[in-house]
Amino acid sequence: MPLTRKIYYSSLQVGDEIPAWQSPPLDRIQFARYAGAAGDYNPLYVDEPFARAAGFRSVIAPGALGLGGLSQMLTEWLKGPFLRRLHAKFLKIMWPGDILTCRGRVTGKHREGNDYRVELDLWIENQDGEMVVRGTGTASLFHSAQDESQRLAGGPPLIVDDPPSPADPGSAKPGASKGTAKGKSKR
Amino acid sequence: MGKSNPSPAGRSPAKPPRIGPTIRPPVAGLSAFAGMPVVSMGGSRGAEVPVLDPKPSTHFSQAALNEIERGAIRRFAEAMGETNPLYFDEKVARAQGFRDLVAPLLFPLSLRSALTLTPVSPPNRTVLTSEQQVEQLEPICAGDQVAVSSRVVETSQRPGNAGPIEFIQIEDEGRALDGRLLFRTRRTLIVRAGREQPAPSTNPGA
Repeated sequence: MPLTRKIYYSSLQVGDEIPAWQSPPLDRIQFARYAGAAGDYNPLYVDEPFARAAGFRSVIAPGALGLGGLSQMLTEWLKGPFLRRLHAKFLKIMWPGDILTCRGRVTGKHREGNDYRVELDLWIENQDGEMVVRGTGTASLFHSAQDESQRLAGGPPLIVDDPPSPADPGSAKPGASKGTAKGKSKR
Repeated sequence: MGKSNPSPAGRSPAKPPRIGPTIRPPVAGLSAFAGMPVVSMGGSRGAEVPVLDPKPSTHFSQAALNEIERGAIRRFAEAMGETNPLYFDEKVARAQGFRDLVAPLLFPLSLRSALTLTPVSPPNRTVLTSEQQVEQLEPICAGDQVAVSSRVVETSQRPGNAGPIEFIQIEDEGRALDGRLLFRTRRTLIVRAGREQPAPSTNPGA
């Protein structure tokens, strides 16, 4: 498995940034491949004369490829398929040739039963720095390496509740101690 | 019309139909769906119902059974640019405790309720997706059978330069044969009149 360190719930903090992931330039073959694999034959993705007649300068990228970019960023970061949910709004059209930079940030974490969930803000910029996609995601992670090895061995999950921060107990929620979590709610 | 599926929201029928869809003539009247063939899952003859109620509803359509194939998972993962061997090599997937190849989170986008068996592309209109969400509650693996159904969550209209612009939000859900919820997807489509009333281009001379 990869040499890079795996991401665990216990090692993440609200405000942590996800390493950005950049796509190769979008190309029409990819649109066709998506159309075929997803069975989504919207002519705007593959039929240039149709797209022009409808007033577009060329075919356009399926929005789902934006979701795909976010999914790849998260899979690289988390080193595994721990993604549970992705939501995206497509703000601007993505065109052939566009280079997408996917970014994200941790906005919350909580345990739900056996599940250690991390909430994420996600977005994609094109090569001109315009935000083309904005979304959110949820990943469900192992609490720690110990939790992982316990579960993979067929044992029970490790149940750990987030302790209040040791330096400043009681300020886990409202505390302004973590400067990084501030100013993230650009909406 | 459309009220013909009395099963309460969220409960998919115990036995989703196995038989392929029957494509019927286009719907007339409803603008967003005008020109879209109605797809109904073949059951007993005469029992065909419009599968999707075009009006917002809390009721899901009759479910269509999707068999999850390894090849479909691989092809979808490749199309999305995924590289994780869990999506390509069943030995790797089994070694990590899965039944078989695992489907990526976004794979449900390729599954079909009766509605999405046909491309949502009414003639003379363009369809854009403005928003999309996928949520998996349990892993889906090759060899699984998933019953997928749809409902229209809401519709709205806004005047535009070339006629009204319509917004349609559709929710799909996928269930295991025992009724366990496996995934949920939502998408918002924007349907508008094309500027020059385009029809899909065809071969010259056709």
